[in-house]
Amino acid sequence: MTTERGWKTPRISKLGRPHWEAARRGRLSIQHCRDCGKYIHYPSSLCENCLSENLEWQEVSGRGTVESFSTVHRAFSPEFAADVPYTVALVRLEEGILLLTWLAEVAPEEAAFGMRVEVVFEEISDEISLHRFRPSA
Amino acid sequence: MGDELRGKFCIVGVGEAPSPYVADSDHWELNLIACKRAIEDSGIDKREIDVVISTGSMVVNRPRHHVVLCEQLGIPLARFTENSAMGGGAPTSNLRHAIAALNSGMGKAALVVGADNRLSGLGRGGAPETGPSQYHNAEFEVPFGPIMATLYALVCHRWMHEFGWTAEQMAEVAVAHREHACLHPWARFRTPITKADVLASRMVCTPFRLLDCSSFTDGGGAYVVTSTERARSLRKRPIYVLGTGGAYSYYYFEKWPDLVETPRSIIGAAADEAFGTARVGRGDIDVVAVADMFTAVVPIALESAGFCGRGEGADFVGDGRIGPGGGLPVNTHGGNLSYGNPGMGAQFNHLTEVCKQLWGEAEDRQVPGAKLAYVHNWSGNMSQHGAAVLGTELGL
Repeated sequence: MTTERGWKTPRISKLGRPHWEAARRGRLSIQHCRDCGKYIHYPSSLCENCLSENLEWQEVSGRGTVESFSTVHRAFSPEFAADVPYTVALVRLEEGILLLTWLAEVAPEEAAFGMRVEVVFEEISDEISLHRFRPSA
Repeated sequence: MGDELRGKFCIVGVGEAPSPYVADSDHWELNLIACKRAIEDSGIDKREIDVVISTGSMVVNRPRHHVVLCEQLGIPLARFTENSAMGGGAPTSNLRHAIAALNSGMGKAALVVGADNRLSGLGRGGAPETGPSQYHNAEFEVPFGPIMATLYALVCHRWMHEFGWTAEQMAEVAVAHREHACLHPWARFRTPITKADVLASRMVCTPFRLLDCSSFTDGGGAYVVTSTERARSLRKRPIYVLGTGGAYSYYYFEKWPDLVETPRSIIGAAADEAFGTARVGRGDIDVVAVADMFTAVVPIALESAGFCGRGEGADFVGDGRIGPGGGLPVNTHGGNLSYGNPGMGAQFNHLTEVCKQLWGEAEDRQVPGAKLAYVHNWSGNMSQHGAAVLGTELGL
């Protein structure tokens, strides 16, 4: 069930495109409701809190803490084979939302709950930079 | 469900699809055999069946799956059909759908089925990829390389951290399921294992080692539901649906407010509804079946359903309590962990197994005198929950 574009390349949606355009510039941008102020991730056509369609994109701090993590030892696709072991994490941004990401610059045995992290971007193609999180001071 | 529905509908027959895995088993064959066996077990004339709810497939993409089933089973006129592809959560979720249809007067007797051939249909290599392709957000999750186990691992790891649960405690869950499976002739894995075996198996995705993970198989099950009035003139002792509960909310983890409290509250809502309608206490239950795609979800399921206190799940599943002969046997067929996980109908055998327990038909696995059972199935990323309290006439 492999695909031509590969698993590492996000299937960019019309809604999500601003996120990826910001990522190319090294910025983490998250959808935000202009009416109630809620951050929305993954992006949607509506605010799930107030159902407003009055949404915008905001650059966020890029800082957060590791809420959970799991180190993958078995790649599901050859595309990831050279990366194992790699650590997938759920990072709670200072703005309150959870982001699924990949820890950078952290050995698997050094990953920890509550670790303070900050965003970095890895350019995987001309179009795509993926957000990773590394330990922050 | 409404209190007035307590004991108003009954499961009157169950059927199980051929297991264990045989090469080249066919999705439709598994569905049809499970349905045939359920109809025969109930003794009902198939022409009485006018509600058909199927669960679809991870292997075969077949719109109107439910109507094709009617055709192949020779059910001449169904009044209510749906393909409710609730995955693992389907057995109890679709029980609620069946009762809703019957109680509305749209039908008199319901056939509910879930069977799939995930192992032979997708293969050992293809099966793990169904995680990325079906469960994970292709834009914001898949590029970060989660395998099927990773999203569950993220939740379970947080629970283990929060409450100090250990890998050794989770290994006891794997051992208990294998002990059950060793007593079931159709279980895919029937070689006894020890805690040391689990802890020595290769790491897949922390905190899950290979033997913390369920394994794929081909199989599934079906059951027939009808009114208590009709059930009393059929061949088997009715199994009364005393209460059901449902809770559906978040799907992708990014929306969860909290990795511990969110699943706890959703599971708790389904369980509270089922127990509340049934007017049965957790301590009254003789046998349990719960989702067990990974070891650590079993204590999460039991604790969240109120079988023990906050953070006590890992202690609760220890000391052989959930194994054969234990104080609260769980998944006596071996569960997804050792009986196997057939795909879209992943937990139908959980439900058919507790029915067999209540009928006294569980052979070497029989829990003596079982009269009340609790079943809780879920699917996706712990997102679609169905629960039911079932009982014999002694449990009424």
